[in-house]
Order: sequence, then C-alpha cells, then structure tokens
Amino acid sequence: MRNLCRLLIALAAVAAVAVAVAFYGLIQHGVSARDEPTTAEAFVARRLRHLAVPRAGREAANPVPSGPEVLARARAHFADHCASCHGNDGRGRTKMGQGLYPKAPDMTSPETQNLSDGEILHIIENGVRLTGMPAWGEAGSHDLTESWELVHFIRHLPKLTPEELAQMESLNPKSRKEFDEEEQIRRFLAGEDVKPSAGSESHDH
Amino acid sequence: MRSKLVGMTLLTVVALAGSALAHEGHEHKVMGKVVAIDEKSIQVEDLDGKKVTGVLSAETKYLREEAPAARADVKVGERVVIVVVQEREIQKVKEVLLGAGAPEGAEHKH
Repeated sequence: MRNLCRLLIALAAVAAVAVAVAFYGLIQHGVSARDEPTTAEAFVARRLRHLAVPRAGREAANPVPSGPEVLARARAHFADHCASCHGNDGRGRTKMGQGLYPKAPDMTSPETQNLSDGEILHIIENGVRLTGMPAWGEAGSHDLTESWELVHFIRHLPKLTPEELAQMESLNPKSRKEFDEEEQIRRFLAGEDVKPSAGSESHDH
Repeated sequence: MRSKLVGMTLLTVVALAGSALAHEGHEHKVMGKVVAIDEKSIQVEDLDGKKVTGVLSAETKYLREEAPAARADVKVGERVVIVVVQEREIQKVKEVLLGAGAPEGAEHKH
C-alpha cells in the first residue's frame, strides 16, 4: 500500500513536471497553425481517423465504374472544390493547404493511397474533425455518385499528366479581380492597347 | 503618452513598409515589352516605362498562347507577361507568357 502511494506520488510529480514544461513552452512559443504536428500527434490522429470510419463504410467498394468521362467530370469537380487547399496535383502545396493544422496531405503518398475506397469516400462525405477538411456530404442526400467519382480521381492523382494539370488551372475558382487580370493579359498579348493605370504589374498571394 | 503614440506610429509604418517591399514568395505579373534577354535573365519595360529584370532558370516555363515554347522564341521588342517570384533580393521568373507572334522588326536574340 505504501509502495503504491509512493508510485502514485512519483507519477503525479512526473505529470506535473510535464504539464509545467508544456505550459512553459506554450507561454514562450504560443500556438501556431504553422507548426508541424508531432509524430505522436500524427500517429494518434491517424488511428482516430481510422476508427472514425465505420467498418461497413471502410469495406465499401466503389460502385461507379471508372472511365475517361468519369475521370474528366471528377477532375473538373476537384479543380473547382478541392484544389484551393489540396492543389490541382493533390500534393497540398497551396497557401491555404500549407497554412492548415495539420497541413493538407500529399494525396499521392501511400498515407492516402493505401486508404480503402470506402475510407476515402467517408472522409469526403463526413470531413475530418479538428482539421481543415469539411464534410461535403449533405444531410438527407443519398446520391454518392460524385464522391465515388472523386475517389477514382484521387486514385488517378499520381498519374496526372501536364495536359490534365493545365486544363484544371482553367477550371480553378477565380475572383473578379483575377478574371479581369486574365482578360487584360489576353488583350495585351493579342496586341490591344492596355492602359497602364489598369496596372501593368500585379501580385497574387 | 505623445512619445508612445509617435513610437507606435513609427513601428507600424516600418512594419507596413517592410512587408510591402519584401513580398517574399509572392507572385508578380509584369506586362510589357522585352528590352533584353540572355541565358540568365530577361529585362522587360512595363507599361509605366519601368524596367524590371527577372532571373531565368531551368524551371522557367515559356508559353505561347498556352502552348509550350522556349527561351529562343522570345524576341526583343515582343510583348510579354512575366510571372516573377520574389526570393530574397532576386526576382525569379516562373513563367514567360508570349502572344500569338512576334511583332515585325523584333530582334531574335540568343
């Protein structure tokens, strides 16, 4: 009994020191979404994400047959809805994707490609809590065709061609300013007069 | 109180000026005519008459009406749009966009 008490006190002391060190680190460094998750944090998060998908969902097979038309539709869908964070190539190297905590993953890597079709579908439909990944599924909607098509496209990401990437760029969402700028560049390169006041130099974030 | 206010204003001005000048990693598009081009750099005179020099590299992409092109296709006097990324003191050229064809009288310089 006495030994148990000593052990508990020692454990409590170790826990108190760990909390104090963590608190000191927090005070010194603050909290930033620019940090990389620790290995332990990433491991636990991946396990929890795995457990968050019901077994039946994990084992679900893609009912939509793949083909050029399906991939073309999914490519356009991905460029419009997903590329802002994931990038057209799915590698997550975008301003938004890199600013998230955790950062948008490289979906061409084994961490994503080794997920089952059902797991990828569940993530698209339900999102991932405490990350930047939203749930794209709508309550009451049972039509999963578009999401299953996206699963095919995610499988295709490691084999994307430069032509596909160029086509996706033209399908990415644009602000009015970006649209006007593109039009101005098109007119300028076509030999039309463009007013300097409209901006001969512009910058993008 | 007054000196604090002046100090804070100065700090704000310095911080804003710093961020405005640096733009590290941000893309800039410069529209204008090619003044000079060689293996290492391209100089463009923009629509306001300002000369901008960008550093060319193996990663620089050349596109003529969205089709792949090469540095040798860029002629002095031709209209271009260069996409540059500020990396410390240098402006690295990411893309050189060209129009349908070079204007008459434009030089071909290697």
